[in-house]
Amino acid sequence: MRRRRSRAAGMMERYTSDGGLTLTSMMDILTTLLFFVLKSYISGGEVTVPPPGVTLPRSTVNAAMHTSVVVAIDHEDIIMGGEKVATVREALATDELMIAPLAKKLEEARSQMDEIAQRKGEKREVARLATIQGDAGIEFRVLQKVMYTLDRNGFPDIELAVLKKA
Amino acid sequence: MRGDVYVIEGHGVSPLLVPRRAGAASPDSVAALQLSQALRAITAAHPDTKDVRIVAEARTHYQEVIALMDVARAAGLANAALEGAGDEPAVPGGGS
Repeated sequence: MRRRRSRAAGMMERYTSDGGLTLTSMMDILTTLLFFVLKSYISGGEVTVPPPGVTLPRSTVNAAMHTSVVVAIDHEDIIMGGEKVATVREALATDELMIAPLAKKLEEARSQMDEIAQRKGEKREVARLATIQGDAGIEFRVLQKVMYTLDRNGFPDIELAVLKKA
Repeated sequence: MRGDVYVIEGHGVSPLLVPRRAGAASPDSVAALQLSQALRAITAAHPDTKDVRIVAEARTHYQEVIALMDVARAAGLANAALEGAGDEPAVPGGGS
């Protein structure tokens, strides 16, 4: 009986505090905050390295990249947010400049950005910037269709990702 | 870009043709120099001009487009718009 009581008392000692925050609680709060900040940041766009197979063109420009929606183009696929949206062959199969699957994906991204902005209480219109990570060897007609689709679906500000020339 | 030449045109500017190696990834050094000199002469004569329209053919390599944007930017034409050689509307090129 005595042994059981002393064990219970020990446990109580271990789990009670003097009223201040314990280190464990502080860590929990900080971790939650960190995840919240990261989620907000990622939801607003992304700055990513180009997917494998995309060799960016080289340029003398010296400008920093901005957080944005990223569309990558290699010789086979058009990729948005790391997900294949359409093939280059599909995009070139029609005379239409608009790439329908990409347009749909952009609309989803746009409404998501608007919703986040609304939740944050931002009254200004959300800056809709898009970055194209195109392979240096792609043909202009593919780039043109992607740019046209971005422009007509709420992303008129387009940056072209390049590698800085040595 | 038109076949085997680069054509520089503009309001109040006499058209200038610079030889181009069709299918090349970017202008060779001679062409790049000629383009650069021509564009610099234009910006010197029209200092307020910052816009340039780059009209590319359907099969032009992306790298060549970027190379031309670099030449234009170096000459002071920082605002590039890209356009297809057909009848498509120009799309702002943004910052590369």
